[in-house]
Amino acid sequence: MAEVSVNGVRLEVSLQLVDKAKPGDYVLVHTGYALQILSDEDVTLANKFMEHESPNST
Amino acid sequence: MNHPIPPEAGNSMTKMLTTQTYRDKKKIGEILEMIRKRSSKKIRLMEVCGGHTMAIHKFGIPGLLPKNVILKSGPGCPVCVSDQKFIDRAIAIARKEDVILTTFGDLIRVPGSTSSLEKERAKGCDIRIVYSSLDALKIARQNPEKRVVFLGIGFETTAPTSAATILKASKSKIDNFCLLSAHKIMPPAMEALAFDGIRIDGFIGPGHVSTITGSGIYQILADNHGIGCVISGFEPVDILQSILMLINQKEQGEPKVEIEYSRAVKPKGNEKAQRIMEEVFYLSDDCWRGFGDIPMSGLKIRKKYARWDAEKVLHVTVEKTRYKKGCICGEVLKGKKSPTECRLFKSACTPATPIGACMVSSEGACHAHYLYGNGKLL
Repeated sequence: MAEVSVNGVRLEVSLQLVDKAKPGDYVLVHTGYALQILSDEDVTLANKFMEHESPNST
Repeated sequence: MNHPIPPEAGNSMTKMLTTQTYRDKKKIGEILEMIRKRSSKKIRLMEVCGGHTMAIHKFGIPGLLPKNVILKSGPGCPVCVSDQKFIDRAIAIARKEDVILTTFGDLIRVPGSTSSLEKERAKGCDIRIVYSSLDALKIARQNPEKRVVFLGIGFETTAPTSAATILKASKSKIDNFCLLSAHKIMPPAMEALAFDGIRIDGFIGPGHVSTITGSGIYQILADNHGIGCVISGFEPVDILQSILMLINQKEQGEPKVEIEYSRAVKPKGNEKAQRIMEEVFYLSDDCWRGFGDIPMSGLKIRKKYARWDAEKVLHVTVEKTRYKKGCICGEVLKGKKSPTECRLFKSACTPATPIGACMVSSEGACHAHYLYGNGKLL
């Protein structure tokens, strides 16, 4: 498990679906799991991804 | 603009500029100009991702395109494609004395044949909305005397998360947790549309699904059905760029699979997530709202994990399915009809009083049309 910040809210997410995540990485988060580790230039995309993913969306 | 932690000073400006790039009016204008120049033929494009349905309508994209470019919504909303029998089964399970039913929020308002999970909760059933299957697992750990059932809906984006939670339940020996799986995979439904003779020239490919699967799964559509697919991001520039790429394919007569959303989608996807999904699930025929049974389109739990399979551990009598009269969700999901062609739309069926699943979910085509019109408001 890892602690991530989603729009300023701290969440615990599982890293079970990704390889080699480390503190400071940005990740795509979906229903409590990190799905992908993003490189720095992908970070903005991650924020947008979250915007389209309402908490209960699948 | 929101900053995930840790927002290091110095690079936040770069990130902000990147955001603006994908909503840049000048860039949008340039792509639209190219679309106008290059598209001579009538072209029908379909998105098969609920996130795209929302984004397309929110940004008013249909209203920006020339008349010969037609956008349709397909079976991309997980709540919408979940069949009524699944809702009825969930209701029957929720009514059992020793059960705590856990679900994503949208699902509780979907009308079943004679009730809904929302109504059952009001009558006293223990039904809880969770953000993650991991929350359901936590509830199971805290309530060892109860059976905690999680309703697993969604495509290749969500299926690996349910699979990983089952692996965690297995490892932690939490035997009072189980999953009712209505998980589905996307390509068979896309192919079913082609077999059904629905005219589609190209798919705006699902960005979230493809993060997991990669791009190869759509090749069959280009090879066997002549339908190209461009995997798209969720910003206006992404979507318009994908539309332009599909127009180029059509004009050149070369349907193929391309990735526009290369920032997040790798050709091979997330192979670790694929392996976890494969470990827990096997492919089986499955029933989709509006489509009926689609061969090898559903994900069922392997025997090895039967202890966590709600279909195996809970025996319930499910009422006879009764479909709502007048609701055309099925035809909307196939792109045969637009929400505005439904006589219930905006009259009897609204987000406050939804009759069909496509009006319940925020990712449903009817809900998006209700909120944003057909792109003419922006």
